[in-house]
Amino acid sequence: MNRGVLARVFLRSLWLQGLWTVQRGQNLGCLYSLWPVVDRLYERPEDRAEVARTHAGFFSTHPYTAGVVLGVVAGLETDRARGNGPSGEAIAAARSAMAGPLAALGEAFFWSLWRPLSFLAAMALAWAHPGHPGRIVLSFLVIYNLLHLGARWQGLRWGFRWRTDVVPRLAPLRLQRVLTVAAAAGALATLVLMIAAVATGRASPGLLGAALAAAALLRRGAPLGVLVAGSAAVALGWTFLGATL
Amino acid sequence: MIPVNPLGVGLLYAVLSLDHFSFGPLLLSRPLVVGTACGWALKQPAAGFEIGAVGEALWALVPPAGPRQWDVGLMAALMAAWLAGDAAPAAAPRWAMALAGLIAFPLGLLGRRIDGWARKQTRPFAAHALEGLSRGSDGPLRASLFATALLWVFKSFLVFLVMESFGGALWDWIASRTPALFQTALERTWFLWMALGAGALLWQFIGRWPARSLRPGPAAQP
Repeated sequence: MNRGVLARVFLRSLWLQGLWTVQRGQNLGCLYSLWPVVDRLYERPEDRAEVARTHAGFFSTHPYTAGVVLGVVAGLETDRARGNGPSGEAIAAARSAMAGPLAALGEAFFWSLWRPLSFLAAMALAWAHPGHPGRIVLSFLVIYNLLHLGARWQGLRWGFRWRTDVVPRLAPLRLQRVLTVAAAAGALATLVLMIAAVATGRASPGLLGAALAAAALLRRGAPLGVLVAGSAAVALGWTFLGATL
Repeated sequence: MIPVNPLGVGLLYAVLSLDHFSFGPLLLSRPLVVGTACGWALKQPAAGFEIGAVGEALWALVPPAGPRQWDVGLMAALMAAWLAGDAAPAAAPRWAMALAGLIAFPLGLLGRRIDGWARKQTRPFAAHALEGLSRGSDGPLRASLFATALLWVFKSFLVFLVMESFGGALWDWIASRTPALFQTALERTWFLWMALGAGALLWQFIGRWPARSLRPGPAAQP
């Protein structure tokens, strides 16, 4: 399998969420991504249909870490086509077994950490260079997507190269440690930005207190929508009481 | 008559909304990007950016894809469109942004329900794609992906236009009659939302502390 085929799988994997259904999850997106490999391995439509049947079951994972699963499945399907790989059922089972843990990893890192970290970096840039909203948003997208797309591509390559050995080979990366450090760095950067805003007179100390109170309320499970509406009620009450008293 | 600007902004938002439905997600449908892009299209880039930044922080807990996601970009697009309307003050003060936010928020929740309904309508396309795959061809799958993407853009465009018209009429009516005391209250609301956004961002890091959530339980320890 050459790099061109993997590049096509990578580009197609950007449509992984397309045709998502409750019954089958991302299975059609997965098949769409893998099709260049299937097309390369099998000439007869019946053989391609057989591969499609194998992977027609429910599949759901994080779109950014899906590259690893797609790489593993592409590698195992290549082995199967050469006659020295596992059965179709075993490949489907490997796909399902990897989907859950990789989804948790993608959720914990990309959604919860990398996205707000990229946003914080953009806000710091906005502070340093005010008046260029377009450039700041572009920086946000570049910072975020460089790692996102890089992880997708590299995950695909590692999955294809190492097949099911990819999990033990990724273990030394100490991803849990990376998550902990990133979360601590994010919390610290948010606090530093908030304190700097107060110190430079861009925000009042009261707003810093309100932000900390909001974080505490969210920790106690207060719904964000209620807090948004509650803020308006508090501001109204505060203004009218101030005007009356 | 529908003004030209909301039509263009509606189309821009509709194309960007594809990001959380099928392509990516590259974060193109997030409030920061949608707000700034719509603000730029309406010649109010600074206001659009501020709406987007506050929205992005406020909805930091909403993921761009997956079961917990919803279209928080719609609210930013609506707010940017209303702030560029005829009744809007020239410099888009913060009270006007807060008022737009208060009207856009329930509309965003309504948009979430419409999205849920629209997603269920992709089943016939999925069936068509599977039928093609059972014959060993990915042609119907490609056609279905394209068709659902097109329908999603159309849905988003329609939802935006309807909400922009009805919400915009309400916004115009209230904005032109808002007394100074209410303006002060609304300005404070905007600042409280900024603080809430900062709090949500902080909670995003502290609340998902991975050392706790990913650590093996007692049964898994030797």
